[in-house]
Amino acid sequence: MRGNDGIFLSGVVLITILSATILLVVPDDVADELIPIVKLAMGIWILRSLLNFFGHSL
Amino acid sequence: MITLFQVIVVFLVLLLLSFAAPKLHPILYVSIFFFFLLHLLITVIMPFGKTFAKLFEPLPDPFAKLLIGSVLLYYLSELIAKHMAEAGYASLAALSHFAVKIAILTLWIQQTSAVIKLLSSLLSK
Amino acid sequence: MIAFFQNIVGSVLNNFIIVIIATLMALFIDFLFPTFSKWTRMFLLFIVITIVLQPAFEHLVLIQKIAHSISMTFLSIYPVLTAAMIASGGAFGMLNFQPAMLLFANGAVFLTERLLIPLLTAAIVLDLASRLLPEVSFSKMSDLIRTTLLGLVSALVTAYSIFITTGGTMSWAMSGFASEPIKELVRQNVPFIGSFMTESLGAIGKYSSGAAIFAGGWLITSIWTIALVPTLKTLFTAFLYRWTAALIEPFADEDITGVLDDIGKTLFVLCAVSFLIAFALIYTALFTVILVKLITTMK
Repeated sequence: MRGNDGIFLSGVVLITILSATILLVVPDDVADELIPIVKLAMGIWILRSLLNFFGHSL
Repeated sequence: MITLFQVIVVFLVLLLLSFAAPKLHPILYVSIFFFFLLHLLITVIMPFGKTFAKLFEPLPDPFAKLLIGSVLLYYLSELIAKHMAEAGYASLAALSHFAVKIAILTLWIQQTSAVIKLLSSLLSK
Repeated sequence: MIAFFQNIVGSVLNNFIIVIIATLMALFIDFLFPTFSKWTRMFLLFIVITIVLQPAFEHLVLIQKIAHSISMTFLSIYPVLTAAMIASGGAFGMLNFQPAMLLFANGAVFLTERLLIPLLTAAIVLDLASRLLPEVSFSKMSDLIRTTLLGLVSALVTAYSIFITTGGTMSWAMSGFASEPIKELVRQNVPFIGSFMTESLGAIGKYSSGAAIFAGGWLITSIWTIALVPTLKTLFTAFLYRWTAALIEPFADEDITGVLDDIGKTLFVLCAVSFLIAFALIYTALFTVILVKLITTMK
């Protein structure tokens, strides 16, 4: 459980850092249009880890 | 530093061409642009993308590569589309950009469909 | 107990899963058509509202139904109870039951049915309206309604507990020390109505522990359970709303999480209101039980 927790948090942090740097590199108007993709990645990550947490009991 | 120098050289060559052959200038511009783009892709962007992906290796498998890949693809498509728009084919540019967007989304669909399948298996209960 | 929670989770969770899938879909469309994003937001908001509002309104209707039936019961039972109280003479003196208390409980339930629940519905509708059209915002109004209702309910409960504690014979049998940390825990963790819950539970507990001498422990427990089930259900659903809002906040539109959060807040107030009903029900049920016991043992 603890290990999972760590993976979840590090995933969130890594996705955040990665997206922040990528969005810095590309120009502003491209960055605005790329935000849905970043949100999608974060959403999939959160939902997947959540379902992994509770997957065995459902 | 070398890249900056190369950019200046390309810029000078383009200026020179616009004087030497004004009629052929658009097509020469396009070909030099794509050539230079390929060059930059191989020497700068690809190595950077690889090291970047390696940096975020702890992130479980598809996410880092997918994010970096889709951003690269999107940016390249935007560049090409802008080029087309400058040449006067704006609607063609929009079309190609849209197609690339769909291609990016198909990269993500596998992940999303897995999550949605899990969610909908909860739904039926 | 687990089956009970599963029942709630199953019925409400479906709606939230649909909301999450709709959000993912909206992200796809947002990426494909950035210029379409206003429309996407509107469609998503409509989907979320139609899906998510249903459980909330079901709870409102449920509590209103309960309030209605209880107030009907009061109206029919009240003359009988007063008559029996007069007939039994001095026996009630030792228990310190005030007949006025019954009237008060009835009044509170009547108030709930006629005033509090329509006002809560108004709060939800105003919230939705201000989310749909942020330029024309009613959020202050709905906030005002919620805080007013909460104040009203807590004032009523304080009045109850004053009524109950002025009767000297009812003693706090359950050890105060044991329940204090739990009270603190609830107070800290349930937003808005936590301290109110512990206060009112303490008041009912004070009362029913006095009555337990007469009525027997299991009866008290069953009365408590019956009275508190709707409240617990509402509380749990409210928590589900806020959990979902917290979960989807990173990848959903701000408006959608705002809608979920607002509905959660309103449901917390509804939970407080349903506490009022539970209070009245427990009081009347215990009163009736003790009356029957007294009449049968006095013979």
